[in-house]
Amino acid sequence: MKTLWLTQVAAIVRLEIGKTFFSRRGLWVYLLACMPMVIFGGHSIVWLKRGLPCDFGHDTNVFASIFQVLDMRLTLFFGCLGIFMNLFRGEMLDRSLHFYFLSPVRREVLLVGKYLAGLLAAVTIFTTSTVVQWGLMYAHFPKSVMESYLRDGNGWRHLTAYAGVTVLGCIGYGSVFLLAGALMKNPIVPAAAVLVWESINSFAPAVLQKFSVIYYLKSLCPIEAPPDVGPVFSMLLVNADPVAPAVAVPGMLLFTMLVLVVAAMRVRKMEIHYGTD
Amino acid sequence: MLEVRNVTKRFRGIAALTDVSFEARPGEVTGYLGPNGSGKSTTVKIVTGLLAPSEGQVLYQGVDIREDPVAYKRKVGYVPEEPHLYSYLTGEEYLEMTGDLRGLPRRRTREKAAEFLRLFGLYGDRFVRLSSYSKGMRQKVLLAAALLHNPELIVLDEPFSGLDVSSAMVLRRTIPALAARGKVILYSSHVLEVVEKVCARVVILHRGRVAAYDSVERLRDLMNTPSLEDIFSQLAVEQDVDRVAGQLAALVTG
Repeated sequence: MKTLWLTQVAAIVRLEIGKTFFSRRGLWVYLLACMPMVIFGGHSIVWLKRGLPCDFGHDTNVFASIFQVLDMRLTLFFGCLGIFMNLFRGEMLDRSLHFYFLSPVRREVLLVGKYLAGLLAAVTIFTTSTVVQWGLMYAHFPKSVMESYLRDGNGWRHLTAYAGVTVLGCIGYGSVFLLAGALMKNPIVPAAAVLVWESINSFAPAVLQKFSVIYYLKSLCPIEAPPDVGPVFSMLLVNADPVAPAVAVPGMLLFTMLVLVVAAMRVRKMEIHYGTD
Repeated sequence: MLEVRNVTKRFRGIAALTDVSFEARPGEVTGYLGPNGSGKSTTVKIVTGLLAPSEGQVLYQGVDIREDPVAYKRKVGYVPEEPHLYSYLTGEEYLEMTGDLRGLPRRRTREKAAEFLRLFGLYGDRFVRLSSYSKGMRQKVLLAAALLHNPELIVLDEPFSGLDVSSAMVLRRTIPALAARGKVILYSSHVLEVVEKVCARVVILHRGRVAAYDSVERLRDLMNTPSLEDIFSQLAVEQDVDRVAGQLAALVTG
């Protein structure tokens, strides 16, 4: 009986994983994850076809810029929105949430199960995407150069940092969109609000910056924003007050915990009344 | 015993239920009747804990169901009106999932689920996805899921929806049989003939209020009518049924 909640979490994760990975509603999440892969794959193909010289520094900066603008602000953001916002809201639309609410499952356990399932799906999809993107970016480099980069250079450190940022992005954005899905009927409103907040966050006072996912993610990126990306991009990439990883990772996790506690309080009071939703 | 005490439910200030009180006793089937929009489904959702009442309380065995909702839900089996299921699961997977969430032993759940599927004639389709099931088949899965954990309180909301004749006949006999084994059964339906046959007492709801609450026999005597349909017509039907039927027929053929 002591481990009943664990059995219930496992059952919820199993059910939600199937729903998240195979639902038609989530098809665009895969397309989002593939989009940057196409860009980096295309880059390597063009370089190979034209026989252009390989420039490690240039490509590393390009990857850093695209990762911070496209992956962190678009792919990860909207991908997590698609996955986590549907965990409660999607079930309201499908009129199936009562299945859980009728079961003798604590709402907090339900929230944890759903969040873990969403996280598992998001991390699998987006970390795979990040690793493949990274591989495709350097696919046109000679094998020996890549081996040396991975073995002696910063290759593994960069790759694990990007993968780690992706995982933390899923953790942070996941909690935010889970809360938004439990809180609001129309997903566009909270999505727009979070997007605006994440975009203007760089200009917010230092204390407020800490209540943002992008603040921690930018601090953890292994490459600084290159200075020659233009004023619009540099505005998005610059991190005036970056924090050390030792602060950024626990900070991100603490932020996530706070958001999940608020979400649990909301889910506890949630009522099923599909007709008006 | 299930006690609904002075329950009022408002949605954005508009009352869907007003001061509803009744009891459902062990060993009896309590019918819950009312026209569309009378508040039947709202009551059922409050009794199952899906909605909280704006006023009043629901007691089970003398305890407010909101005191320990998880413990209460262990005792409840609910068959909802609409068979919305997780379409990508098979019938067997759905029942196993229900067992897992209810904390039932896996082996026992499997055995019992298989037996339910066999009795409902779904055993051959147990590995088929629910998306391929007919409405009646899905209804049978919902019935099995509601009864899998041997609930003390069974709430049935239009349980015959979509069932074929033989399954309906089986269920019609199962409901009183379960009541005879001491279950508390609340049976919400539009099908008056079945309610008349299986229910000891009925609650008739009209515009969110209890219009009548008594045994079927007593209501027949009081209203001086031979059938539950006549009682229902007098208490809860506002339109002239014969006139509207005539007008509809004229509209179709005219």
